[in-house]
Amino acid sequence: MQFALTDVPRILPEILLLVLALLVLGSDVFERWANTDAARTEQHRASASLAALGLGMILIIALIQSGYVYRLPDDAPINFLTNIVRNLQNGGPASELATTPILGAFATDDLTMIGRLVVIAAAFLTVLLTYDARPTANPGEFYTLIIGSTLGMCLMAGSSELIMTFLAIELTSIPLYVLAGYFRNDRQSTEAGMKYFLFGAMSSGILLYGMSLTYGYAATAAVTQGSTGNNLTQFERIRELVAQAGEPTVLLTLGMLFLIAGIGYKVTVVPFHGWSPDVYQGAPTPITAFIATASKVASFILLFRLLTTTFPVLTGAADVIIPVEASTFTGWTSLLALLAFLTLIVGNLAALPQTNAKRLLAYSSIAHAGFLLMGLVAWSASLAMDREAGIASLLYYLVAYTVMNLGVFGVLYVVDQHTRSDEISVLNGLARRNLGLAVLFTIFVFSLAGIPPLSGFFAKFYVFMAAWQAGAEWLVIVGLITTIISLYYYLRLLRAVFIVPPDTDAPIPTPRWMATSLVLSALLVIVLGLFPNIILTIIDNVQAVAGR
Amino acid sequence: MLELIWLIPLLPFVGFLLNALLVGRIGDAHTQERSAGYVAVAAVAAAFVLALVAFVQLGNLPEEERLVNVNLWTWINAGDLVVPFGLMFDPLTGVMTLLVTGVGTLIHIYSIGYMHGDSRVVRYFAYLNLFITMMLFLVMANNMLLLFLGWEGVGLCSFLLIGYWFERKSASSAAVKAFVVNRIGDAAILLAMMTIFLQFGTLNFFDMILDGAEVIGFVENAGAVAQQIVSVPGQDFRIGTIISFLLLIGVTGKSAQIPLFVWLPDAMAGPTPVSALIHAATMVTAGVYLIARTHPIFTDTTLGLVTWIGALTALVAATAAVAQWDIKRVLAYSTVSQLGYMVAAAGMGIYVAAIFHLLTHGIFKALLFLGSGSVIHGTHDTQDMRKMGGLRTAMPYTFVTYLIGAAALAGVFPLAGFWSKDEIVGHALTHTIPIFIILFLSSLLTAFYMGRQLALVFWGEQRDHSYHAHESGAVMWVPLVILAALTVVAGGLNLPGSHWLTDWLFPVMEEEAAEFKIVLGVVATLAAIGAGFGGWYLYAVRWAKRIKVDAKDPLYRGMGDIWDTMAEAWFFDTVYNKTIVPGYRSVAGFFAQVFDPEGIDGLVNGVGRAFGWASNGVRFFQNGYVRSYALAFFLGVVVIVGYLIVAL
Repeated sequence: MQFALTDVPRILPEILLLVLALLVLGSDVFERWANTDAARTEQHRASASLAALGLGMILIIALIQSGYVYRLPDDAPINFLTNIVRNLQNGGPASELATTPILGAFATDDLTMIGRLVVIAAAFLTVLLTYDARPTANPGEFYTLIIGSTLGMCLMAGSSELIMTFLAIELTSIPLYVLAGYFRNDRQSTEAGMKYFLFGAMSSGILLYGMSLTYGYAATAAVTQGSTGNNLTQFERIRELVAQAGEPTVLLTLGMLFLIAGIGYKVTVVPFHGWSPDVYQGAPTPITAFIATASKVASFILLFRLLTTTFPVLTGAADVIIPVEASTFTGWTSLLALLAFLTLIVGNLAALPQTNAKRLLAYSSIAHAGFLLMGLVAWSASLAMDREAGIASLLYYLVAYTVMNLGVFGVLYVVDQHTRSDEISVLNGLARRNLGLAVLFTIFVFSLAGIPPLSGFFAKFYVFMAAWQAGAEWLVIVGLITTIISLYYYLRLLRAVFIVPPDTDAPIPTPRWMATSLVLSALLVIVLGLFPNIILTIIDNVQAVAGR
Repeated sequence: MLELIWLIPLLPFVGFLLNALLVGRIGDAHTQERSAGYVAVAAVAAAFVLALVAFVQLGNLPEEERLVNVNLWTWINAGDLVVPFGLMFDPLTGVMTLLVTGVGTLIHIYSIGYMHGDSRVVRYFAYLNLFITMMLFLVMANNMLLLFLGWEGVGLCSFLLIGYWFERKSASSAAVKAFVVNRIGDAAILLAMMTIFLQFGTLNFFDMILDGAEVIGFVENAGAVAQQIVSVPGQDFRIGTIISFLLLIGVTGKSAQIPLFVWLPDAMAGPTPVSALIHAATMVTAGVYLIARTHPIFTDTTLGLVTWIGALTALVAATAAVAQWDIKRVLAYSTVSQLGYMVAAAGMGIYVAAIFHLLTHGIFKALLFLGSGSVIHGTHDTQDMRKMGGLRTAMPYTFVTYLIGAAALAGVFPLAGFWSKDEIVGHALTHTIPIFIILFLSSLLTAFYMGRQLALVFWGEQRDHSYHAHESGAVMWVPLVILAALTVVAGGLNLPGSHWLTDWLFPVMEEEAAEFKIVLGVVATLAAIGAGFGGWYLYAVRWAKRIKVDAKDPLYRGMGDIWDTMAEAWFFDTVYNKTIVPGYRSVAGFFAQVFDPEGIDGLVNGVGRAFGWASNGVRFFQNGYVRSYALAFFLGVVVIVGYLIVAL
């Protein structure tokens, strides 16, 4: 298996992201010496607009490549434009090439494509949010790091090999550590960066340990079976070896467990979530939004691909069975069900007494990870149809979750820019100070709480439905109860916005591009909620690939 | 045409929609008022024409085929409960439909004049049309549930129209009272429906074809099932007794019988045409209709109770009517009294007579109410009869028509009331003597209070000169004349000898034609004329000088407390206000001030506090130190690994 020239268009979005990252970094060189406020703003906006334009273009190119919006018919006339589209789509998920990963390491199927689109869109909306913000130091670096991290996330979404997985995770994480601590003069931000880094280093260790165990198992199995090859780290290959070996062993199970723990930290699953409230609170708000959304999307897709491709043998049931006798371990769905249960309880309960809006949303984000896990638990269903419903619900949830979280953090960022605080109390009387912003905020919060007809409601609904079909009724009931609990803290936010009188009636301005980003998110929240089929038809493509 | 009977309720409904949604948005107030009236009248009149056509066509069918079911769609299909949205048309429904739409049309026309200049006329006509729609559902439903929709619908419209002038405290309280009292009856009807469904497995009245399958009806199959005995702890009951007793409670609510009649006199706070249409001619007769419709299910036990309730109501209300000063309250109590006759008739098993009296009463009581409305209109909203007097010269049309109506109500030969009431009183003579005595006494009182009312309103001198009395416009007196003409001829529906109504209703109620007793007829007429003349003579001649504004009635001197008891309708209201209302209030107070804030809220807040407490627990590890987080992380991994090791 070799890298062929035809593989280049398949990784075009990643290549373009890399080029863009370098461009943004380079552009900063020309404005290094800005020392007045106006010049600094100018410098910031130059970098921001370059990054935003670039990400927007890459998003459009990825969309064309995906063929979700427009698919070039086979009998289209041949001309300059159609040639471009045809070449792009030949590298897209619908082409025959997409059936095998590049070098066995990077899949370019629909799952990757959806991951890319969500991640790049999230990066785009994040960058838009920061356009009108107070200028940061070295804006070129700031945006380069965002784009670099985005690139890492795209690779995570498509990665189908252990080493590639590790590299992708590191490529995602390291820029995020720096970004979390980007405000060097802000104690909280520095602390957040440091904590994130320490915790990340630790879980990287766990992850690597899990990979080495898994590799060890695969290599042993290969030797006993007399097969050779340097492809023992590929997901598919490991699965074959496990299947041939028959019964899974403790070694493989431990490897899988450590892998789940290592990725579990990225998706903030209890008990691997400890870092997230501190980091979410301390990091610059747009970076929090980015970490909470894009990074989680990529990690969930990776987790899904890893578990379903590598360990289908260990799938198991959706119950948490207390082991009274040997050999009752029921696989990773059982483990995930347990983690989902813990995550739902801890995330929702811990959010109740928070006074800091970002911290509250951090816990809300942990709680949402619990709901997302339910979509994975659905993989334990015996019917392929129900398993497909599980992945569909997971992906729908990811998309909905991304837009509503970007929106809600975006609103906080707007308020933060004006008041320099992210306590819940600064939201007091927002409805009087900026009604439009308050309405947007309400849409996002209602969606997070799962109020129909917004997309957050349907996301929860599909996930519950899938989990119920898969036999995890108890988990659905826990989910319903915690959803009710969650209403309390979501409504606290709205109470501040609409009921508590503000200290001052001074209006809070919404800068143009921030507003654009928020309105785009809000539109998506509403449209995806009213017409979930728009996105579910796209998600249907994934089932064909992942449903094996 | 008979397949199109659904058009009959649809037309008033369209009128309602037009008035409710469109008319209020066009032109100025004047245009709105005119168009609202025209739309409403046209809708009801068209329904009347359709009903007439349907009636004639029904008559052309052979007698045994005079039952048409039109199932529009399956309304409810839940397990065994299959309810069609179905209408029916049979001889009973036919006459009821004609009464509702016919009298309804005249009252709609009259309303144009009566409500002229009111600020919310569009709403008034919308409500009125909605009422007609609901009343038509009630009488045309082919199953209990749709009947109940109409039953509740007319209750709602009654509430809305009693409280039409809601800025008056009395009107809004009267509306609430009517609604609440009716709810008691409605709850019983609901229970009756559930029992019917439980015992018969259906809510349809008659056997019919539904979606190609034969389904049974409970009225048609009542016979055997109703006589079965069920044991309620301590007592054995027949199923029919239970169901019909529950139905009876519903009837006492809607048809204003003892003990639930108290809402009807207060309901006079609504506009007078509403009193005429809803609280005299149509809605309050729904109970009588219900008994007639479901009569096979009534057992002898309940029928005895029905008879006594009806007879006592007739007497109590008649005495109350004697002692009223308000022109409308006299008529209100009179209505209660006449409804008592109908219910008593139904109880004695002479359903045809009940329906006959229902029809004639619907006509002449509408006439009387509209007449009183004309008086009120002509005297600028005066309702106290002490302030009237001598209006026969100022209002000739009103006077003549009112005289005819009053004579009919009193039962004077040959007007409608004579024939219908005589049938009931005459049958009572052969049924139970005490009932006969009560009913006969009541009819004497009826004649007396009508004579008194005529004397007070139309004879003597005008006692209060703060207004200038005048005759109402043609739009108001023409309906009066039509109704008066109908009052004269309506007795012909069931004249002894021809018995058209008995024959017509024969498929529904297989009943012998009543025997006409000429002696009783003569005695009754003479007694009515005598009592009426007595009432007239006492108030118009003998005591004419003693009637003054705010003065006590001359009879008060002789009767004292008895008179007060009569005026207060035997203190039913007072008893309720002293017993049930305080008890209810204290229960409600307990729930509102103790149970809800302490119990429910306490529980909810307790759950909230529990979660808050739990939330502090889960935050234990969240102390800001990475080492704690790492510890949690590793503990988690270790625990899971431990779990695995045990498991594998």
